[in-house]
Amino acid sequence: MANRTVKDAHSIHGTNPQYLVEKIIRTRIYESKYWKEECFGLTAELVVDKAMELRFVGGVYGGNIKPTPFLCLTLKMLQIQPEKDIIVEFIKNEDFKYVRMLGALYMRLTGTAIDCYKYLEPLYNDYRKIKSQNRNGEFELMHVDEFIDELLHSERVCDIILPRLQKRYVLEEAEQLEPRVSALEEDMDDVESSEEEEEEDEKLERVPSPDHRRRSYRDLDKPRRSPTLRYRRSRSRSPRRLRP
Amino acid sequence: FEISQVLGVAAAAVNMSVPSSLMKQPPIQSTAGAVPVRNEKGEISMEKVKVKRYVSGKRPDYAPMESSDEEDEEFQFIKKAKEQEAEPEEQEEDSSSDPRLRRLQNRISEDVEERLARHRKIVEPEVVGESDSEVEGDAWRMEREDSSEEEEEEIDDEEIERRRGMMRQRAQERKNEELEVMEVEDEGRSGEESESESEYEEYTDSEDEMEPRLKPVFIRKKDRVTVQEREAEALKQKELEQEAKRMAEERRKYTLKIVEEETKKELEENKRSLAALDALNTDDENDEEEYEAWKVRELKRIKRDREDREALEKEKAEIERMRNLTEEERRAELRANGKVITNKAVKGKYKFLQKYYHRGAFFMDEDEEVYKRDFSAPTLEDHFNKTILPKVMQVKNFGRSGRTKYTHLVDQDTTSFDSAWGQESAQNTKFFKQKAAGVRDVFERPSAKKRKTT
Repeated sequence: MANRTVKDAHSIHGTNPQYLVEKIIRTRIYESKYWKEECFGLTAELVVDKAMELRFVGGVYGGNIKPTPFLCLTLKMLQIQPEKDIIVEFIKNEDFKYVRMLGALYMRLTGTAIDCYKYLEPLYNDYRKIKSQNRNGEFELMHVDEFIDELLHSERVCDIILPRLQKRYVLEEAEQLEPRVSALEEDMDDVESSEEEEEEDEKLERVPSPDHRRRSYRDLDKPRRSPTLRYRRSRSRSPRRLRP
Repeated sequence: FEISQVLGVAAAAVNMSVPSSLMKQPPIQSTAGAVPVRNEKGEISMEKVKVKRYVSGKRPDYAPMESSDEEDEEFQFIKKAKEQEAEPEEQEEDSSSDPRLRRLQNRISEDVEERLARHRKIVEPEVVGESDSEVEGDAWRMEREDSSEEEEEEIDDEEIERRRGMMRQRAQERKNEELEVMEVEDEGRSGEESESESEYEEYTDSEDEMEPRLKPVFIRKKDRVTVQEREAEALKQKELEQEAKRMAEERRKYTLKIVEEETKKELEENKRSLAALDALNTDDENDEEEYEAWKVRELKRIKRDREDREALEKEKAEIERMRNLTEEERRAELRANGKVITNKAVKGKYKFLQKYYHRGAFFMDEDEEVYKRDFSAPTLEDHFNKTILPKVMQVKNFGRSGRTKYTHLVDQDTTSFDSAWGQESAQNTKFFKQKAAGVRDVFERPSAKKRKTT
């Protein structure tokens, strides 16, 4: 009973949402201590609390396929199927990067292609460091944007097979998406435009100012703001972005 | 006669010879049961085995003629049945023949004390009517013997009387002895026992006529063998139980220890991993560096995206271009560039009835030497030439259930090359060039308008 999906859940990609995680890994999660101790009777709010305590991302590790807490919480979210708003909040929050990544993973698993691109691409600008646990149980350093890149381009993340995502250009041709404009490009554009306009003064002015702004934000492991996102927000030109 | 006939038949069946006295038979020609036999001259010759059947109840040949026991037994079996009731009371002598009787007669009645001194302890049950029983037993035995020797010897009645008297005397003596013995024993025992004894005595007295029984002697509870045995058993059981409990306790402790060790190990592992986790520092505050690193990554990503896009567009353009060329131009293109096949394998020649092995259709994208080998080389049975075999054996999988006579497609062709339309004549070639279908380069759809009337 504890492992059944909530009764009124929608089917995701045609199946029970929990079946997005493979059977073997799912069974191992059900039998793990973390799941039994921490994930019993969780609701959406409590999931937030647990997610705030996460310290690393990862899939399974060890010879006997032990799941990480990150993976257990992902399965829990699939089981309780929170609303889309909650997930968007997870993604938008800047203080807790692991909460953000949990939301991103969930979005990638359950959301449509447009939603994925819409919500995950802003996270490309988050360059904070994260810890990830590899298959051998060892910890490695990674960045948030690398994680998002994996989510959008590779087939397997955290030992979950990701559902098929339509290619970006297909959506662009169907005019459901705008072509991607990276923050860097804007930077470059600005830099170039400034050069055109005002030689070096502005350039000098511009170049330190973004750094200056960024420096004011400190990255404590838990509450950390993503500076680039802020920056991005303030500099974004497209009316459609980030104003959902 | 019938039996002998049966025997003869059986013997004939089993190739045994039958004593010829019984039945005359033609000699059986066989050396199956021949044994070497020494005849009077000392020569050894091979003769047939003469097997004599064993018939129960009849003395077999190998049994000795005279055996006293046997005869007596037989006799006794027969005689006793007849004469048991006739002479029950006959007490005969001839005690010398029985050593037991002799012993008894020769026994010196000795002093009780001497006897006691001889034995360390007399705690065995005493026979009550010992002499009587013995006497009776002897009488039994004597009776038997006498019955057998009745014909042989004449017995005097006087002798009988004399013997009877002696027996009675001895019985009396023995009773006296017993009484004394009992008194001696009583001295060491409590009064209760004498009561029970007396009771016992009465009991025995009333049933004196029955078969002789051992007089029950009372043994103290702590001396009783049976009780002792039971107690010993109980002790042993208790000990076993205690042992079992101890073992269980030990095992429990052992498992607890193991559990402790395991939990300790787990804790250690957890601690280690947490330590490793903490060792990694994600709080690098150097924003500059981080920004630079991020920039590099982002640029790479942008580049990758752009390249993907370009590749896509190039392909689309290429496809468009190919479509726009005409047929001849396409052929020219192909000849110039050629289709690139990865892992092109050499096509070899197959021998007669060689087994076909498929290379495998997957994983052909990556260039590898292994895929380019010649897969048509002969293996196992394909090495030797099957054309020299008889036609029957010229099949694939010969001898096995899945054999096939099929060799190749041309072999299955049943075209008759002698038919009229297959010959090379002017009429045929004309037809082929003008009217035959699918032979010319015609690409217009057959329309409904043009209806040729031929």
